[in-house]
Amino acid sequence: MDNNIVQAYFWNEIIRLGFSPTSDKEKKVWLYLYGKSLKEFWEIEEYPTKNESNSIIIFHSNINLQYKFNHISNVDNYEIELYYLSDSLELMWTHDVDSHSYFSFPENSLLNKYNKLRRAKRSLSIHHIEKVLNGLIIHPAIHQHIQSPIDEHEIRIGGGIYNPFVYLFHLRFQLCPSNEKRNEEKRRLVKLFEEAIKNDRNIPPNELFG
Amino acid sequence: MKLNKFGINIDSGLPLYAEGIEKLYEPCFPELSKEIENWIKDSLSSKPLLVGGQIGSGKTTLLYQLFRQKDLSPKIKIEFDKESLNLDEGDFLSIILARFLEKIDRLQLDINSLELPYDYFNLKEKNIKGIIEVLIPSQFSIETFENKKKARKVVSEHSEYFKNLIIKLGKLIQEKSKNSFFIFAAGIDKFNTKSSAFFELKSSLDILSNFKTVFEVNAVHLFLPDATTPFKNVVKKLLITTPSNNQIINILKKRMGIYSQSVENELELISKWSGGNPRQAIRILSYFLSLQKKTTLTKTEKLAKSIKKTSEDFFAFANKPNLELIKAVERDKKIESSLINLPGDKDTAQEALYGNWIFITDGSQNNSWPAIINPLVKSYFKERTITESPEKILLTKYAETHGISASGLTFTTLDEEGVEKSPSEILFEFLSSGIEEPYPLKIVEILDLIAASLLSKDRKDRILIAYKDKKILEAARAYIFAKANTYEYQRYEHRIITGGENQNPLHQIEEILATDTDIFSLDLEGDWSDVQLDILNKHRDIFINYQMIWWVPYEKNKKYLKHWIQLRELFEFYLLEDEMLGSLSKENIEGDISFLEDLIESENSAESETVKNLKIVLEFLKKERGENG
Repeated sequence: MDNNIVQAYFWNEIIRLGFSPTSDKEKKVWLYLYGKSLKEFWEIEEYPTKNESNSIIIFHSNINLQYKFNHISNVDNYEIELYYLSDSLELMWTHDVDSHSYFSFPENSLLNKYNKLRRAKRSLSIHHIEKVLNGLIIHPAIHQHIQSPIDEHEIRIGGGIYNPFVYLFHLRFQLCPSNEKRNEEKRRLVKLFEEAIKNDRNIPPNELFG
Repeated sequence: MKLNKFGINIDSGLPLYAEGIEKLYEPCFPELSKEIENWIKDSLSSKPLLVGGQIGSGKTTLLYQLFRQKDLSPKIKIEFDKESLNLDEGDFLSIILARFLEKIDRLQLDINSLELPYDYFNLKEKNIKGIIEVLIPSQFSIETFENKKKARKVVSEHSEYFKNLIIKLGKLIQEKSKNSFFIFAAGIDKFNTKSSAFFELKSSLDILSNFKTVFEVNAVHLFLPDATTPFKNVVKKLLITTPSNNQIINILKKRMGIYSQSVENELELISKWSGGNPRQAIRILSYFLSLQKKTTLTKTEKLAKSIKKTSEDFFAFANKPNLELIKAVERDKKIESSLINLPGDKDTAQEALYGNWIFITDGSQNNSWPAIINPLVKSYFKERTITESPEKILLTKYAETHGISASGLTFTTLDEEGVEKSPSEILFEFLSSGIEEPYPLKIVEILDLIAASLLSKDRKDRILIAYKDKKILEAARAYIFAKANTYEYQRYEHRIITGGENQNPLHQIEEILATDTDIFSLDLEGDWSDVQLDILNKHRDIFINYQMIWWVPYEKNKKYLKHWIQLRELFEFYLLEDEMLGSLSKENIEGDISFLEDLIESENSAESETVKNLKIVLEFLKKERGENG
């Protein structure tokens, strides 16, 4: 089976198993634990999350960035605002998904139609998982660069990520300035998702965030 | 402190130990370290050594860095600040006796010929361990505390006998120990030379001067006249002065880890405002980081507020030295040794040195010491003779560089007569106001500044909150306990600690510290005596490993802070605004409760504790507004 097709199926599986809380409560828990995980992951001095009536603000003042989003109820329709945080707060751009109203490439439908997941799983390997995670989180093929005040820190914000939880998770990764930490995290995620796909197991958020 | 490998490691400026030293230590005085090392290794020398520095200068960290090395660790360590009780002679002698007996026990030396006074202590079993245990109990309980008190009183009553005994024990240990034997007498820096406790300590220091002892002292102790100093036969007095600007910047960079580039523009400024005092530098940085998330403030305002907050912590209501002294140091950039030696009242150079109003910056030259006024307090002495200081110029320049004039700060630009003030004047009035009268903060503003430590078990900070209106206390506490449990389950214990006649507040505090909890909340009530306040001040370091919130009535706080020169270095000080309603929104609280109730999985959980306490706050808010519950 063509490697690209194999990886396409794994791409979907990773999103399904790690980034698809369904009920409102599951989404709430996911977002709560996401916010909680950031202090340790970014190795900063305080928890960077602030809850405001219906929205959540994450400030990463040590790299002059902030982002904001509402409690996500509909994965096909949401916004995540990115701000430049300096002497004032400037909106850089809004990551906006309107796929409930506008057509977007139906990769899910196509993959499900051909129904080759089981066959793809026969080729499950670290190599494939790594490639997929690279494209999804670590180095999205289509991305915009944001300048970090830290020289060695490359921030690549993915341009085509439609799943909000994947988007938030990739922000978490991208805003971590330590290459060593990123590499460690990549190794951990590869292992985690390889096992999850093999056993068809949903990954609970506390495990996802380490 | 749990260490971050690549990221930020900040605290309130505590001494570094173990893992922290390896990662964060900046060797600022290699020659001085070498001198201490040579003294330790010199087997022919049995004379004591004084190592002194001002509060927050890094002396404990420097010593601990040295002592980590295997052949450089002290054989006996005596912690006068942590282990004392009543601060009387018997107290101090008891500590030495216990530590000497411990050593004798470890070396299994035969001391039968010395006839230890077991009967004095009413021990069930007459052995060395029994005496050690009664004088320095390993477990805290009311019984062991009372026994300790009685035993130390016995030592007081028979002090001459015990002094002789201690010397004999010490000589025996010295004789039988290998060449690298030396004693570390720690915590003497907490004892101001003018205090009655220091007077009581003298005989103990005299005893230890008979042995190869390194005394950890404050800078002022180095200036005691030879005729009256209790540190006899000292081979050398080593003074830790102020590190260079670059060294302070390196200290801060290490604290910031990979994020240091993001505060590069600010580090030099913070270093200048630290006056070369590492703790002061770390405190300013810590506040600056806490304010980073405040998008309504410019960077200049954040810096100015951090500087002001630090000066409040260290100097609000403190006894001030006289202006003449300040002017002299500012003019001459030095202070005469003879001035420091002068006995006298509280305005002397000695007090200015002890209280960090001035910093000694280098070794002595012709009986005088290069010195500067602490930048944090310069603005308080509003005289034209206080010239434009480097840090003042730097802050104004910083404001301009960032496109903000100093007058862009949100302070009033006109004085009472309607005269326009210059940006510098505005800035300096702002910075100095905290020393006279700290600005009250809303509970949410306090929370912004303490969030880094309160919300995480990784950091242990100490917070002192002064209040005017007792009615809001329960709700304020509930709000803080709620917030403390936002992400991590943190247990808390709230107790009233009563000072005054027939009370022993230190004992009460020790009792509560023996409980297993995460946050200790103490309400200081009663009329604390000067002695009780001083005892707490000297025991500062027993609180280092605890997350604490102390609540003190505002009118009493003014008096307490004057006694707490040492203690306040480890605390952040806040004045709570009376108006709770102004800063807390009922709708926000209800929203938080509703959000968190869904997440509760068990009673002993962060979410459950947060909801429980938020409901107390909500109840209070509704009652204040006359709404039904």
